[in-house]
Amino acid sequence: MKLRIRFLDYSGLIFLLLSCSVSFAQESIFGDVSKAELEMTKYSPDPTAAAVVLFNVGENKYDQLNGDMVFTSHKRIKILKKAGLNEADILIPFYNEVQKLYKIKAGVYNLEDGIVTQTLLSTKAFYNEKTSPEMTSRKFSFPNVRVGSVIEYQYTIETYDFTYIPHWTFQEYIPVAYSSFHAEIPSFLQYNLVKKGALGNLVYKFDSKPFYWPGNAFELNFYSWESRDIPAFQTEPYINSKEQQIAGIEFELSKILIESYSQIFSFKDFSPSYEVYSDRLLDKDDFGHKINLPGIFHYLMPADLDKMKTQKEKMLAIYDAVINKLTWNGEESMFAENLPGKFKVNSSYNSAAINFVLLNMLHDAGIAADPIILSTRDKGYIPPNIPIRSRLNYIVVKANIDGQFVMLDGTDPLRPAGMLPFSCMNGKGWKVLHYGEWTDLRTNESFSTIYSTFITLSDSSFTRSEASTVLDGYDALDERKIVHAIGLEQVRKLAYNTSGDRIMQNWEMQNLDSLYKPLLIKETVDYKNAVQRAGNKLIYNPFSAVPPSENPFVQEKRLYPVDFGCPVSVKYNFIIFIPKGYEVTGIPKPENYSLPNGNGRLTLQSEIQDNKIVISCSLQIKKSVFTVAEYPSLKEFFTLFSRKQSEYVVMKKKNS
Amino acid sequence: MLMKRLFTICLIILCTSRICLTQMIQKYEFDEIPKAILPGASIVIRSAQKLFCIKSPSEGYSIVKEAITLVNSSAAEIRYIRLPYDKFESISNIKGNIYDKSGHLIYKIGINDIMDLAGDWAPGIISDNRVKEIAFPVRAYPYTIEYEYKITYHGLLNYPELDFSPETGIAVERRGMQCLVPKSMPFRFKEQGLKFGVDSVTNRKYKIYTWQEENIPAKEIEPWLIVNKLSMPYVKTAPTKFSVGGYDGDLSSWTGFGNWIQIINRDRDVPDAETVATVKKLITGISDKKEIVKRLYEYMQSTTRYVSIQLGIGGWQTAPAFEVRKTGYGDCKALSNYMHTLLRAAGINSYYTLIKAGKYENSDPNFPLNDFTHIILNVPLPNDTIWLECTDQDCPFGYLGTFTDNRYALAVSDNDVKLVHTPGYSKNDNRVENSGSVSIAEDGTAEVSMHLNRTGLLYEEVNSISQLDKKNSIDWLSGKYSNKALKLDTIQFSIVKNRIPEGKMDVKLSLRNFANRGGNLLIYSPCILGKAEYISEKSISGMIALPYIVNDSIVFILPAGYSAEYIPAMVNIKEEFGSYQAGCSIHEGKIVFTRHFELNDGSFDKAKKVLFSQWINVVARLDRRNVVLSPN
Repeated sequence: MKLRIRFLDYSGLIFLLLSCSVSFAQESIFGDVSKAELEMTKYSPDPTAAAVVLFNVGENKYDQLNGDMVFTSHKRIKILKKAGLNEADILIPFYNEVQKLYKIKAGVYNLEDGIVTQTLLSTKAFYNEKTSPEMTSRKFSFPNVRVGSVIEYQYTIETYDFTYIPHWTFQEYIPVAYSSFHAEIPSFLQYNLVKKGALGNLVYKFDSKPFYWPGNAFELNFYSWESRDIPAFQTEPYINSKEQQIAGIEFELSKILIESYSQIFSFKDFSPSYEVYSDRLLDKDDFGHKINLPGIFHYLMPADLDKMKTQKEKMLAIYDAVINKLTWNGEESMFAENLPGKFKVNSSYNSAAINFVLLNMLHDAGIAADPIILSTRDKGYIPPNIPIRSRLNYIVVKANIDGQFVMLDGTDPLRPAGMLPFSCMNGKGWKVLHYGEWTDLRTNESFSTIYSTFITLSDSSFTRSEASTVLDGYDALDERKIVHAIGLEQVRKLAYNTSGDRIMQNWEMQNLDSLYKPLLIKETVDYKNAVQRAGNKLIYNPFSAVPPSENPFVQEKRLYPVDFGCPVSVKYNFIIFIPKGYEVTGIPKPENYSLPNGNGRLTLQSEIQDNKIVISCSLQIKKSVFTVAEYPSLKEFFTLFSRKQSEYVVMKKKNS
Repeated sequence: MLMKRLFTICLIILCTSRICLTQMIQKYEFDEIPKAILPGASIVIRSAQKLFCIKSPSEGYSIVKEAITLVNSSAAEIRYIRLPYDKFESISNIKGNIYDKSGHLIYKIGINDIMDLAGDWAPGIISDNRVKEIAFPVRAYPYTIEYEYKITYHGLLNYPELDFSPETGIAVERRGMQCLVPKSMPFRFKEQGLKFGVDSVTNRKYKIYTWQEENIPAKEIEPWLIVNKLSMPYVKTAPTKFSVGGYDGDLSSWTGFGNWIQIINRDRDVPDAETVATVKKLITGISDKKEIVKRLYEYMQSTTRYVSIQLGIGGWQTAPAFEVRKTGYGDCKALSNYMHTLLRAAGINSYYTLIKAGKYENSDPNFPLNDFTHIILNVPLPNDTIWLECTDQDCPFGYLGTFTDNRYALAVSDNDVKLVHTPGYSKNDNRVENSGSVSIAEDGTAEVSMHLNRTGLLYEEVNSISQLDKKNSIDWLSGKYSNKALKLDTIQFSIVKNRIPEGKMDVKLSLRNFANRGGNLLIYSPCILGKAEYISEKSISGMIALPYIVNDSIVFILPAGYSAEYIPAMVNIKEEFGSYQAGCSIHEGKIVFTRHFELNDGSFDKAKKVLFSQWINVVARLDRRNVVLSPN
């Protein structure tokens, strides 16, 4: 595949545009390293940083002479600690066939006896590594790098295929003091500019000038971004997509207006809007052409479908056939690569192929159903305005069962109908039909667990707990997945794996194969040391009889939204029988606490009834996504929950 | 025994008539897996066979054939088979099949299922290592993947080894190896703990050694303990005469192998004029040899860094010292050789030392074999022997950590080869001291001011925390303090870089929910740093991974209006495994908690392991005793 094309014939007509009104002022000159940069010992916005990118300046520029896109990058890094030395090992990946890496230049700067020394890397220092059939990596390591050194390198990548032009990343795992990116793109190449991450201080400028092309009048568009003091990227619990949070700009080709180009690239996936994209998808071999294939999958159809009366029965039977007869190959996709055209159960298919089969089978049974395209959680949220192909990666089916909508995905034999993979719990999706429309991906599912425990205390610190745990929604799915992955025998073995303190007497799991019922675990456990004697009192923490729940929000500040994916519900019921001859002098204090706007609620009730204590506690999170501004209240909420879990029951020996 | 002979002969025929092993019609029915090995296994190695054929000291090939049943989805990753190769090894004749549960062939590997990839993708590693990756597609579980390939050796230093102690979750039905050795060539092997052991026959051309073991149980691991790898079942084989990259050697003795190392590295440790001048300048005025070594080691550390370059013979041969001087980087070989050269310029002899690196690794002193993975430097001085880790630019002078301590190694210098043993760290070297104060408020919040000191091998954790940025150190602290909401005020480190290094940390922080309510009482656990965990009383043999001593002394300041209703009494228990003393006392209205825990070195049989677990569980219970405060 050699896609290089030259438009030298037109070179006489080219107007050279030398000035550009929107580029930023900061100039980066190779080799112009100051003494101050070398004397720097700390990066003050982040004094713990091991290294800092002093600047990273780049551009994507259309080259009219060669008819390709030219990317240049110039980066300078300061090493502040020994842990930062590995920043001097560089790897630049590029596509073998459509890109060329050249004009690579690298230098290292040290302060020796007060004088700035420069060492340039010789050509021998650069290695080429064929990383995979498609990719090559240029690798090099800077010489003479120590704490205090400044290193810099610049390079150019020429791209012959406009679909593969390099992206820009502002944020890294070390802080970046300054980053700017400039793009000069003629308007016959239309790109979706996809902004990732959440940089507060990203400045954007735009300008355009006339651009002449034989027979056409186009514009040359100038885009510029810059940002300063970009913090090092860090991960946090409950982030929907790590990759999408790293601040950057992606260039996704949406349209080529010059025929000679678009023919060469056979490029048809223009995506100016979801409505237009919908229609284009309907015209595609591996999407739209897979929607209407009546009768093809008859061999998968449940035999007694005709006898079924309701649409719901039929839907459940078809769903059941799909999840049990087709094996998912683990690949998430929006496009069906191959469909099981004949009876071939000993194969595996990508998610789109399986869901198109499901869609067709529903149609064959007279059930209305449509494909919904979406971004899975690891891709970030679905782009709100423009369908960006690199972020849309999945299709599911929305069926209309007697006026009720049910979301379906046939990739997992452990998931009931109506429940999507957790990776799809990501806001909205787009229903693909002529024009199409937005649709909510929310289902009724949540993370749900109820612990009910009868605890018999004795004054010899021995405790017996008889517990039943009811898992529903994604909690049940997660547990079923574990059982499926390692086998029920191994799960049982692990449950009986006793420690010196906790001895399992009986363990059983119910409803493992009944996907539409909650999963039930019943166990009888003896604890040797759960009750502690403190003088003439006994103290006992009821929550020691249930699995510990970690407080995920111990951080003071939060940088990214908290995304639970769906509502969360945990309930605890304890009935504690107290030992003979003891009276209760303290129980966990009742609590009733709500998050603002009713987005969550924590309650605890406790009372003493004769010889027993009855405690119930409930934690409900009612919405999926909490903003950074809402984080402090969420943190308080979980800190309170953790406090309630740590409260004790206190008993005192009766005076007889 | 008869069956075994038959098996041996069967393979020979297959090999000599050049019929491929796959042509044996085989099925891997799931139901045929012995019930005894199946429980708990996600991966069952149905058969793993290797035919290793030696042609000459530098030429040979292996044919490998393996069949693995993926019992359930947690085995999914194993379907990616990675076959590494480089300039001295090439891979060919890759074949692969998939069989369903009932043993029917359902898929054959095609060209699109095999990828040729770089072996070391990361930046800072430059090598010609490559990988052929077979990506078997997913099928309905359980299914069996079967693959076969040939490795041709162009240079032979390492002969095959078989490890018969699979990881947890992997069961092995059959694993075996057959070595075809030309009659004229000597061949060495060592086996241990095998059910059947070696079987050998001789034909016209070859002496043939066969090993075949069945139904091998998975390894069991337990906290606190490690398993002595040299006591697990294995077969090792090794050459006598060998040749790599045109360099001939003799591995029948450590001296022979050491000599080969010297030959390939000859003249790469000659100090050039600039090095001589630099060294001279650095050591001017220092007369003590140890001080000179220290001065040069610190110079080397501050002017170099680790970059791995493994091209061609460079996997064994060091880069010349002058190259490291020029670039300021190198791998473990190049940096150790450079340090050796600096010392040479100062007139001090040192030994370039080959070692098998990694926690609890070791080499067998009685069976010369190249299983070394790392280089350090041994510097014998008249009154002391100094060990230098040259690849860690942060390592204290003379310190060997868990990566290289307490094991055999091969030291080489100027026509001198010796087997040496690196020093270990005793209980008294590995110490934890925690002291500080905790001021408790009525709402359960605690202001904590704590001083930590860890010495010996335990210094490594503090040292790595000191490298972290603020957020990661808070995460670490939060883990230490039972995952409670935590606000860090200050954190300071000081690292004492001695042979027995010390890592000190001072923190000031506040913890939410430190003390908890029980009616009107306030209850808290005074053992806030490092409670022993309850462990199972399973009987397996092993040895103590890390002997050490802990001393805690923490003062608790009570909230106004509260006094101690109950404090855990001082207890003192001493066993052969170690000793434990802990408890509280009251001084001037404050509660003082002290804890002394000492874990002795030792190795246990199964019966003693049960007693050990019981002792740890007593400690775990005592560590969980609470203080109860009541309002006055």
